[in-house]
Amino acid sequence: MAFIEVKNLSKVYTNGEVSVDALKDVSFEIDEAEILSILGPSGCGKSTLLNCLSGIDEPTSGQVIIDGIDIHALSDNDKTRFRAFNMGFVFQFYNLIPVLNARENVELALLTTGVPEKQARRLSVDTLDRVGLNQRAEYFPSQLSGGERQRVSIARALVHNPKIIWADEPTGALDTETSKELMDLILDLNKTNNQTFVIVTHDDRISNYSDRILHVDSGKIVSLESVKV
Amino acid sequence: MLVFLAAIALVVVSFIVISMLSDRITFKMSFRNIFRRKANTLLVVAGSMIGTALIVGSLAMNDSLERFIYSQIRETLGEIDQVVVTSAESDRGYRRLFQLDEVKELTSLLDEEDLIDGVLPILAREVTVGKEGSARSMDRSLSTSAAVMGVDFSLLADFGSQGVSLADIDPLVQNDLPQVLITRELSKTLQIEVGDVLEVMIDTAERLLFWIELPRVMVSGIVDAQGVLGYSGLRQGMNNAKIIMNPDDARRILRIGIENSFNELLISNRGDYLSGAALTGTVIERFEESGLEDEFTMVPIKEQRIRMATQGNVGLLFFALSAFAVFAGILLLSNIYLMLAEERRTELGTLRALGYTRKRVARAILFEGFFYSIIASAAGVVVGIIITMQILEGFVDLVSDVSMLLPIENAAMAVSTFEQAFRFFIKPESIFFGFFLGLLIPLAIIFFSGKRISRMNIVAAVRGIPQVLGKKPKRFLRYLEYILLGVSVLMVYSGISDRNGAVFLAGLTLGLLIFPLSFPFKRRRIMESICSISLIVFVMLSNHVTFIAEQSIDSIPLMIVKGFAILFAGLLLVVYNLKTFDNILGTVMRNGKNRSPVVKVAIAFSARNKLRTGLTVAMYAVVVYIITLVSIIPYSQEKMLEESRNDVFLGFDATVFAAGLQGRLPSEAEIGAIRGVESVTTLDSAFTRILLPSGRYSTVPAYLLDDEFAESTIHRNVVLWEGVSETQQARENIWKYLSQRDDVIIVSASVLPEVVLGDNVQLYLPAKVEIIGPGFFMPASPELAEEDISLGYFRVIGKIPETSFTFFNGIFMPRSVVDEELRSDMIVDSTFLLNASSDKDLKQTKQEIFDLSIRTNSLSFFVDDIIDLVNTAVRGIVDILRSFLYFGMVVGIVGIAIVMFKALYERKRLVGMMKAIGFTRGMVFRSFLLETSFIVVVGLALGFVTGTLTTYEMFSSPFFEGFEVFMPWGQFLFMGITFYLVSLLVTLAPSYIASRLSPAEALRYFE
Repeated sequence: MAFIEVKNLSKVYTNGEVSVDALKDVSFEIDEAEILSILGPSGCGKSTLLNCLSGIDEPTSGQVIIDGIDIHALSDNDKTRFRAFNMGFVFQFYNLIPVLNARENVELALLTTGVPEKQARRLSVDTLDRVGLNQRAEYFPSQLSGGERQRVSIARALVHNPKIIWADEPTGALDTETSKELMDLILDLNKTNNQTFVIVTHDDRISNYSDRILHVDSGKIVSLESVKV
Repeated sequence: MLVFLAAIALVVVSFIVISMLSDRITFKMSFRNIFRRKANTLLVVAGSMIGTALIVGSLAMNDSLERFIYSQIRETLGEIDQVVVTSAESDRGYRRLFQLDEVKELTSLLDEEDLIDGVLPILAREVTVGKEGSARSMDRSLSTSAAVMGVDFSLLADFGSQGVSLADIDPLVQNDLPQVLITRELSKTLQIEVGDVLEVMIDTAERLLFWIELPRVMVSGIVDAQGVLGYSGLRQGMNNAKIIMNPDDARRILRIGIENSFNELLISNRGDYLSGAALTGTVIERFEESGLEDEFTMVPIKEQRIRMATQGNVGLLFFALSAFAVFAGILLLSNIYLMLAEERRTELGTLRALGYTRKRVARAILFEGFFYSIIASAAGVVVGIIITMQILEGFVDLVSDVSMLLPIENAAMAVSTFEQAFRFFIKPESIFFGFFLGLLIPLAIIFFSGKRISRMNIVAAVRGIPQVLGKKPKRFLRYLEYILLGVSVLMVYSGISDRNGAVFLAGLTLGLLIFPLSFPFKRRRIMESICSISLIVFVMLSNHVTFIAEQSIDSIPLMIVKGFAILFAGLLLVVYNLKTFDNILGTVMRNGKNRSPVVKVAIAFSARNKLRTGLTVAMYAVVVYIITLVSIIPYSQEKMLEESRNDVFLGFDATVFAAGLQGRLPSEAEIGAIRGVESVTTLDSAFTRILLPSGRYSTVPAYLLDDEFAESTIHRNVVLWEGVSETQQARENIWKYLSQRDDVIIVSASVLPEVVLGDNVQLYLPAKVEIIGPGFFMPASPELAEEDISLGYFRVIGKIPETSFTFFNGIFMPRSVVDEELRSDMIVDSTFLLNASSDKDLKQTKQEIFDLSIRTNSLSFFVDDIIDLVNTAVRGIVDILRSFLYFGMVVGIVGIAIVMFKALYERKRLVGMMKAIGFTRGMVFRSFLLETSFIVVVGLALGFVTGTLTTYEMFSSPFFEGFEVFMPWGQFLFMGITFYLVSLLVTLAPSYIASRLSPAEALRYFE
């Protein structure tokens, strides 16, 4: 059985009398420790797909089964807890809390899972070290560059050792060189920790790092192809 | 000031309107921003409106009080500035009458120098009046006391700058009865109409002499008791019941046989009813030069009344209250518009990137602020007026309620006069002032914030990166700090050299708060904290500095500076150490499921947004600070009064005494015969002169005690001289000991502070006393006269402490010290003290004593009623002040609601992220509530602590010497919990919305 099973996933946005089909009966599977890129033009539904897969958005119909659990059948709190223990997120605009420093931002992901503060502090510093930010642990987001902020964001996603990491345009706000460094880092972490990465991007170069590429257009899967790195 | 503000407002508004017309696209953008987030707009307008309402409300409170004070003066004195009376007194205290020729020299002198614009000789005396056949009635609705005023009507028109017009009074058809005018109050009290015949009773003794025909007068007109027509004469009370007639009729009715005689000469100085008082000093100088000083006395009555009115505690309290309330309003306005400017930063940065000039960027936010502030300040004026009207109405109702507790005949009339005079009033300039402040403060804040943002680095503005100050602004700030530091040093120096406490402390406050910012200290936070703590400690100990202690009693600026210094220092101490709170709370609340991340996020937002948190905390703190002051001081007084229960009537339950000149005391036997009266003692009082250790003579009342007093009193509050033997030292025995000796006395510290326990003092009885008003007597001469009688030397064996709340202050000695013959000559007043059985018939006993008082025109009071009365009055006034302050508390509550709604919008994406990484709905909800709790609890605690410190500081001043601080913990707990819960309630909505946000939608949120 696949690690993540997506069955007949549909999402309809309704605004007054206007309905938009963001996802149309999407089904596919993702294996454990796989890097899957979701590619497609702007507005094709790739972010909506990622949101529904990760459980931060509700599909109109269909199922997402992760490690045997239908996550949309869970209550909101259970779903949140499931995310806290099993998932990490990397966003295009980092979404770091501006009033917490880099270390505290990373700690937050551990504290939500009930890790004691001392241990959380130690693990956060270790993780920041792994992403090359050990010297910047006490810096606030406003004092970091875009690449550094995204590294903090990745550290926050990795620190509690989740099974899956969802990344929505992780390099969207970064320059080419920084983007490459970041993807190298993701690849390295994937190999080391055996974690599943699902990356939404519209950058072909990023997709080259993936094991498979899912092409989406107008809410439908156009193709699902394997790629050799 | 108003013209200046109006001019600025006009220029600003014109500039903004012209700018709007010339920059239509910016105008359109700003206008549409109003409708973008309706809830947000509503909150900004509501908060801004409350800020303005608070300012307008404070101004209206002051205006109403000021108008009341001056209307009383205007009503009872009009243009009368001085009153000239003869100095000599008759045995019963009446002044000698005089004729106009005797004062002609003075009036000519004043007239020649153009110091006055009118003199009016009058005859004034208090009488009892009723409709024909009713003056003798005991029923208060049929007869009442009133002042007869004999005045030449033809002179009235020329008295003062405006004269007194009686043009609308139609003369009645002549008949034999004297024609009189009465005041509206008298007409109302006794239901008198024009044409009614009144009886006038000069002496209450005539009540029993029913065969004597009372003089009658006919009412030919009813006038308002204003100005001269409101004046009752120096010796009469303050009620407005008057009968005005020509002097000949007055003489006939008052049975004065000397033709053309008067008892008072009223003088109006040049100028109106207020400005004329400024000439009083010069007029008195001329009077002293005129040679009339031996025969006549000039009373500067207007000056005295103004001084009495403006020194009242209520006025002071309202003034201080207004200052803090206005400050809280300004804080709210500042907070709201700073947040608005911050919120628009990204957009304004984007506009800059698109090619907008700095000026246009600043203009964009100015236009938006203009829309909000013009609506809010107009609405704020209306809301402020309505709320103040309600509060003042409550105040008038309270006075009416309290007056019902007073067993005094004229209380109802006095209250009716008060009700008419103490009404809501706001000067037009106060309305404009409040409106302009409500408009200009937001515009100024927005203008400078807009300017600041327009000068920011475009990328920093767009991406929300904190702007690091450039070299130039840094240098400017540094110079500004140095200048302020220099100013503070100058102020401290000037304060010391002029011995001006307010200037000195204001300089010190400024200096200590600026100092840590002016130098690049390595550990600035520590230096800032040290300076703040030092300032608080210094202010707390400032009463040890002589010139500050001296001014602590009556310097309002000093009082306000002290308050602000403690409050500001406390506030800065908290703001500097917000991070410490973060650490403490983090440690305290570390344990518990999911608690740590919630605490971390909640506190981090407040601790890092120092300006916003500081302003919101300050809004709470300012109002709680003043509520704390307003609660502790009267509560302490109330507690002390209750503790002084046995001091009020020297250990007795009640007192009966004569009411003024017309009163008669019932006999001791009459009182003793009343069921429930367990003991009665007569407390005779005579004036004595005491030779003080300084060589000076002081005149104080001496109370002559009989054996019954010593037997029945339970008064124990006496500090004893160590020279009295141990058994005698027992406080239970001290009055008995006193009654058995003829060489010892007990004194009240309040009237004889110089006298020390164990002193051997010499006492005299003054040969002559004069009556200075109903029931008020004084020795004819302040110095020892040859004919004064020496009573010998007395040892002071006890002192009644200054803090003791008692009706009887003076020297206490056994009656036997003064022999009987001398006593009958010298006793000026007698009072009965009695103890009543406290069984269920107490009410009946009280009623019987009250009835006896009515029959004899005396007054009776029970100590428990007095305490109830004072406490009800104090509590009522304090409750009204508090209700105004609770309205002020809305400032803090609206502030926190705005902060949390703003937080909801600002952090929408972060909330989405938090939920994505594992924050449950409950955790998000709790983090918002915890953030509110943190700000509110810190604000409440800061206000409470600084308010309590200020109270202790005030109580350490000489003015409150001997006063003890009592904390109304129950009130504080109730207030704290209420404000906390209401604050949580208003932030429930943003917290709930945040917790229910869909993470996917929140993450997509970009405006």
